[in-house]
Amino acid sequence: MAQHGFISVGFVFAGLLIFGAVAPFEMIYPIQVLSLAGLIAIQAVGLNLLIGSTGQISLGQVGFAAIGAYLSGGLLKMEHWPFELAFVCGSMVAALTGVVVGFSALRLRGQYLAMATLAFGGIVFGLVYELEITGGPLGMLRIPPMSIFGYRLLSPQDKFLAIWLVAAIVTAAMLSLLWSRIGRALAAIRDDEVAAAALGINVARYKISIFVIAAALSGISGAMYASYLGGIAPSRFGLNESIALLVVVTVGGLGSIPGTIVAAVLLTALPEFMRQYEIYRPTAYAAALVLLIVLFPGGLGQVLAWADRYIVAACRLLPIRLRTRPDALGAS
Amino acid sequence: MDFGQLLISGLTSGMVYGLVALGYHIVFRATQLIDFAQGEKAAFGGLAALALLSAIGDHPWLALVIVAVGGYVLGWLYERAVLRPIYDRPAMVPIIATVGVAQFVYFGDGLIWGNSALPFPYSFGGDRSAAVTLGSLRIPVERIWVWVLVLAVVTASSLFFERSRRGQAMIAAADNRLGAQLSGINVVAMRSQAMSIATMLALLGGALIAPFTLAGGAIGLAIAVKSFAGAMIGGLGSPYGVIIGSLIVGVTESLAAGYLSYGYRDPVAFSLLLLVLLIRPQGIFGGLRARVG
Repeated sequence: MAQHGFISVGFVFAGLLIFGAVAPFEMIYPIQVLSLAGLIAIQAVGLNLLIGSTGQISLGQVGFAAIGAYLSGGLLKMEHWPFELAFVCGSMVAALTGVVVGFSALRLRGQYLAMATLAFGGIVFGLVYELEITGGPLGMLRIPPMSIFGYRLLSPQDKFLAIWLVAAIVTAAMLSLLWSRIGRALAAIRDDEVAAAALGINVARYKISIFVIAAALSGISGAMYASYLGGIAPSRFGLNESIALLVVVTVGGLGSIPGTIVAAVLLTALPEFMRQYEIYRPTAYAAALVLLIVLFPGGLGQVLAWADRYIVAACRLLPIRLRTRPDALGAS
Repeated sequence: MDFGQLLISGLTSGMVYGLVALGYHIVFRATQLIDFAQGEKAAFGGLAALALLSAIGDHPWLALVIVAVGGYVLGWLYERAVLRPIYDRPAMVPIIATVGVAQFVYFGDGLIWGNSALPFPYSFGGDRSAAVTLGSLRIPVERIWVWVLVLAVVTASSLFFERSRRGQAMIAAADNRLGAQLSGINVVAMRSQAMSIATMLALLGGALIAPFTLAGGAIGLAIAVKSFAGAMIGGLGSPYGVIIGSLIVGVTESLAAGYLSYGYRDPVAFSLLLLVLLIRPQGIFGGLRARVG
C-alpha cells in the first residue's frame, strides 16, 4: 500500500514539534488540545492499519486503551512503579489481550468481527465501570505523571513533545512496515486471502500480528492518557469513543496513515473553534462518517496525496533533487 | 429479587431485542448485510409515534399507519442514498456506513427529544391496568399483547420468505445475484423493497413496544449488540430462532442483573455473543447458514 501524502505529513509533524518546542506559555490551551489529538492519532493509526492493511475491523478498539490506561495508572498509583515500567506493562497486557481477541477474530469475517469487537469493547467498559479496583463509575484519580529516566514531564510543553514524539515514531514505524515485504504481503491478504495463501503467505500469522499491533498502539495511547490527564473514568472508554475513532479513520481515508494523523488533529481541534455548536458535534460527525464513506472514501489521505504531487512538482522547478520511490507517489 | 419477576422482565426486554433481531434477520436474508442501524430505527419509531400522538390526539391506529408508511419511505431513501452505492465495496464499507447511520439517528434523536427516555402515555390496545395472575406472578395484559404481536410478525415474515414468490425472489437476489438476474429477478428492486420492509418493521416495532419500555433514550449500540447476540444464538437465518435467542439473552441478562449486580447486565449479555460466535456460529437452530468465517 503506497502511502501517498507522506511528504505532507512529514511537514505536519515538523510543524507540530516546532510549535511544541517554541510555543510561549500563553499557548497552553492549544497545546493541551493538540496533546489529546496526538493520543487519538496514535490509536487511530493502529485502527487504520487494521482496517486498511488486512481488511479486519474493530469497533471496540478503545477497550484496549482502557486496559493500558487502567493497568498503567493502577501500577503507578498503587504500586508506585516507575513510569517506564508501568507504561510498558500496560501496553504489553493490552497487546496480549489483542493476541486473544485476534485469534478469535481469525474465525470471523467482516460484520461478525465488527459485532464481536463491539461486544469486547462493551465488556471492558462494563468491567471497569463495575469493578472496585478500577474505581467504578468515578474512575481513578491522582495518577502520577509521565517520567523518563527520572525526569518528570510536568509542563504542558514537555507532555506535548513526548506525545507527538511517540506519534511520530509510531507513524514512521508503521510507514516503513507498510513499505517493506510485510506491507506487500498485507496488501495481498487484503485483496484476496485465498490467493495470498496460495502464494505462501501465512495469512493467519499476519492477521493476528496486525491485530496485536493495533491493540498495542491503543494500549500505549491509553497508558500515556492516564498519566497525561492524571485521572481516568469509564466514560472515556465507552462504545461511542470507539466509533469516534472510526470517524477519525474514515475522515483520514481508509488505509491512509498520513491522512489519519491530519484527521486526528483537525477533528480534535475543530470543535474548539465552534464551541457554541458543541451539541451538534456528534450528529455532524456521524453525518460526515456516512457521507465520506459513501462519496469520498479516500478522505484526507487523497488530499494529502495531491499536496505531495504539488510539492514534488514544485521541487522539480527548483534546483532540488528529490529521491522518491517510484511507487510512493502513485507514479507507477 | 423474585425469580419469577426477573423472568417476566427478562422476557419483555427479550421481546424488544427480538424485534430488532428480526430486522437483522430480514435484512440479512434479503441482502446478506447486517444493518447496524436496526436498533436506532426502532428507537426512532417509538419517538416518532409519541410525537405524532401528541400532535394528532389520541388516535393510536392512525399513528401506527403513518409510522408504517413513513418507515417504508425512509427505508427506501436509506437504501437509495446510503446502501445502493456501496454494495460492491469491500465488506467494511457497508459496516462503517450503517454504524454511521446508527450514530446519526441516535444523536439526532437526542438533539430533538433529549437523551432520556420519555414516558409513553398512550396504549395500542385495551385497558392498561388489566393483568393476569398466575400464582404469585402478575403479568400485565399489555405485555401479553406485545408477545402475541411479535409472534404474529415472526410468522408473517417466515410465511413471506418461505411461501411467497416475492420473498423467494429476495432470498435468491441475496444468495446469488447473477443467478437471480438470469432468472429474471430485478435484484436492485428486491434489495430496495427488503430494506423498506425492514425499516418499516423496525419503526412499527419501536412504536408498539414503547408503552412498556418508554420511548427512545438508552437504545444505542448496546441494544444493537444484544439483539445481534440473540440473532446469532438462535441462528441468523431462522425467524423463530432469532426470537428464541433474543429471549435467552433477555432472561440471562435479567438474571445476571438480579443475582450478580445491575452493572453486570451488559457484560454478561455481550459475553454471550462472543461465546456463540466462537463456539457455534450457525446458532442453535442453524437455519440458513450465515458465512461467519
